Amino acid sequence: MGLIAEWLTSSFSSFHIGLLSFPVLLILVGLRLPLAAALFLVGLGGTLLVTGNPRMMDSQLKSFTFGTLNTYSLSIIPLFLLMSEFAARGGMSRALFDAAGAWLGHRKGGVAMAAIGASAGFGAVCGSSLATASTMGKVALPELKRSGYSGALSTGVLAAGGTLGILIPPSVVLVIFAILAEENIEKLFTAALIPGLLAMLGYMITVGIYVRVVKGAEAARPRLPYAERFRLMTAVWPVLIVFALVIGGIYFGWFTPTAAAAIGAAGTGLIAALNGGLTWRGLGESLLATAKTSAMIFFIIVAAGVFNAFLSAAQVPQTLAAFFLNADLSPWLILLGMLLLYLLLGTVMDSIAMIFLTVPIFYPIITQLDFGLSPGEVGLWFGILVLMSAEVGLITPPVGLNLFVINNLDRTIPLIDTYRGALPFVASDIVRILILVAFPGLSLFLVRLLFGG
Amino acid sequence: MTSRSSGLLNRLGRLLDRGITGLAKGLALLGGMGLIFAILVTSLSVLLKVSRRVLNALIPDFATAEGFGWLKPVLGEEELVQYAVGIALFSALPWVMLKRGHIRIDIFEPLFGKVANRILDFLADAALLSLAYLILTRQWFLIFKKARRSQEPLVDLLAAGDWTAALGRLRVNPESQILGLKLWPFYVFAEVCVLLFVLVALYCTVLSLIAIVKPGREAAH
Repeated sequence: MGLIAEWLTSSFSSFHIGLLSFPVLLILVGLRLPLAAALFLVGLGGTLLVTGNPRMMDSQLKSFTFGTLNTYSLSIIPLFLLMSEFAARGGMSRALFDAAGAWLGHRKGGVAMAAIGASAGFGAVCGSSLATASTMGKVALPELKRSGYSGALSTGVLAAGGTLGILIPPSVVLVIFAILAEENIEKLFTAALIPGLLAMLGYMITVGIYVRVVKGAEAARPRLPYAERFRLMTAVWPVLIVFALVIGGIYFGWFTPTAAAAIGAAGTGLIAALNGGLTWRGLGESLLATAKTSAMIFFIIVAAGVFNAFLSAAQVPQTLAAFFLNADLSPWLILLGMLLLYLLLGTVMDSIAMIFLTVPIFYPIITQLDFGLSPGEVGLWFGILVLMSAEVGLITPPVGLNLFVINNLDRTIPLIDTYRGALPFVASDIVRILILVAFPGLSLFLVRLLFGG
Repeated sequence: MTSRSSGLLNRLGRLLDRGITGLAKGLALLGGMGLIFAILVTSLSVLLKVSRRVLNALIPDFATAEGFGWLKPVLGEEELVQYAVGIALFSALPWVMLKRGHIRIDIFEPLFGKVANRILDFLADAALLSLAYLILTRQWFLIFKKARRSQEPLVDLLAAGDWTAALGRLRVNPESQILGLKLWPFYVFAEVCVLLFVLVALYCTVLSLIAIVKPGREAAH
C-alpha cells in the first residue's frame, strides 16, 4: 500500500491524482459500493496522498459530521421530505385529479392531461418525484384505464407527471444543488417556477399530439358545467394555501426556506390528519421514511464534503476551470456537453448521485464561462438546467425509477409498454431543456423581477 | 451440528434480528420527534411574529403597549431547529444502515452473478462499517480533549479509575451562540447514535459474510 502511494505521489502531480480519482470513484461505484462510501474512501485516500498529512483529516473529521448534521440551512432537507410524506397521506391527490379532470377531462386525451395537471398541483406541495408518481399513480392509473387509455400512455404520462414533483418548487434536488454550489435557495426556487410550468405545459402538449397520432388513446369525458368545475376546484384549497404559504413565504422573504419547509410540513401534516390519513401508525411510517432518505442524503453530503476537500487540495476544480476558460471552445458547446452527459448518466444513475458527482466540478467551470450573463445568473440558470436534465433520468430506460414505481401499480401492463409510453415525454423534456438553454431569461425573469439585478 | 443446536442458533439469530431492528427503529422514531419539535417551534415562532405584525398594523401604539413583550419570534428558533434536526439525523443513521438505504448503482448487478454480488454486498457493508468506526473514533474528541504531551491517555485514566482526571478531559465549555446551550449533551447523543450505527453496520457485515459462506441463511432484513 505504502509503495503504491509512493509511486503515485512521485509519478503524478496533485492535479493528476485528483483527475485519476474519478475513474477510481466510478469503478468503486460500478462495483456497487454505496456512493457515500466510495466518495468518503476516495476523498480520504486522495487527501492523504496529496497532503501527506493524516492529521489534517483527523481534525477535519472530528467536527465535520456533527457540523454537517447540525446546520440550520441543511435542516430544510428532512423537513421538505417529511412534508412530502405527509402530502402523500393527505388525500389531496384525489381532489386534485377530480378538479383537473373537471377542467380538462372533456378534451381529446383530457384525462391524461388532467393527470399531468394534478401531478403539477401535487408537485407544488411535494418535493419528491417518487412520492408524486406513486401518490398520483394510485389515484389516476385506474381512472385512465377505465377511460380506455392504453397501458403505455397511462403509465408513461404518470411517470412523466411524477417528475413535476421535483421540477415544480419546492424541490429537494434543487436544495441539494444549492448546498453543493453554495447558491441561494430562494432564488433557485424562484428560477424554477416558470421552467416547472413549462414542463407541465410541454407534457400536456405531448399528450395532445400523442392522442392524435396513436389511435384509440383519445377517450374524453363529457363536458362539465362551469358551476360544477368551480365546485370541484374548492376541494383543492388546502393545497393552494400550503403552496402559497411555502413558496410565497420564500419568494417574498416572509421566512427562511428552512422555516418555510417546517410550515409546509405542518400544513400538509394538518391536512393529512384532518382527512384521516395521518394516524399514529401513518405518522410513524412517515417519520421512518423521512429518516431513511434524510440519513442517506446527509451521509452523502458528509462524504461529498470529504471528497470535495480532496479535490480542492488537488486544485482540480480551479485547474479545470482555467483549462476550459483558456481552451478555444464555445461555452455553449461545453454547456451542451455537460447536459448531454446528464442525460446519458441519467439512464443508469440516480439523479442525487449524479448531482453529487458532477456539480462540484461542473459548477466552477460553467460560472467562469461567458454566456452574456453575470456569474450569479449563470449559476442559477445552470442549476435549473441541471435539475431538468437530471430528472429526465427518472423516465428513461433502463433505470427510470418513476417507470418502475408506476408499472408496479398495475402488473398487467408490460414494462416495455411503460418504456414506450414514456418516450414522447422524454422528447418533450429534451425540447424544453433546449428552449431553456436558448432563452436563459425564462429561468431568470422572475428572479430579476423579485430580487432585482 | 445437531438439529437442536441449529434450532437454538436460529432462534438466537431471530431474537438478535428483532432486537437490532427494534433498537434502530425505536431510535429513528425517537429522533423523528426532533423533526416534530422543529416544526412546532417554527410554526409557533412564525405565528407569534405574524400576530405582532398584524396587531401593529391594526392597533395604533401597539408597538409600545405593555404586557405584549412575549409576542415576538421564539428566541433562538434557528438554533433549536438546528439541534432538533441534528438529533433526528444522527438517530436515523442505524436505521438507514439496517434498511440498506444508502444509494448504490446496481446497473452491473446482473453481470456479476450471485456469488460475486454477495461478496460485493459484504464489501459494501464492511466499507460502511469502517467509515462508521472512523467517525466514531474521530468524533470522540469532540467530547473529550486529546491527551497532550505527558498527559495519560483517557483510556488509561478510566482503567486506573481516576474519574476526576477523566472528567477533567470532558469538553464542557462549547456553547451555542444565541441560547448558550451546553453542547456536550448533543455531542454525547451524537456519539451514542454513531456507536449504534457501528453496531448495526457490524451486524449487517456479519450477515453479508454469512450470506457468502452459507447462502440463504442470512436474516431477511
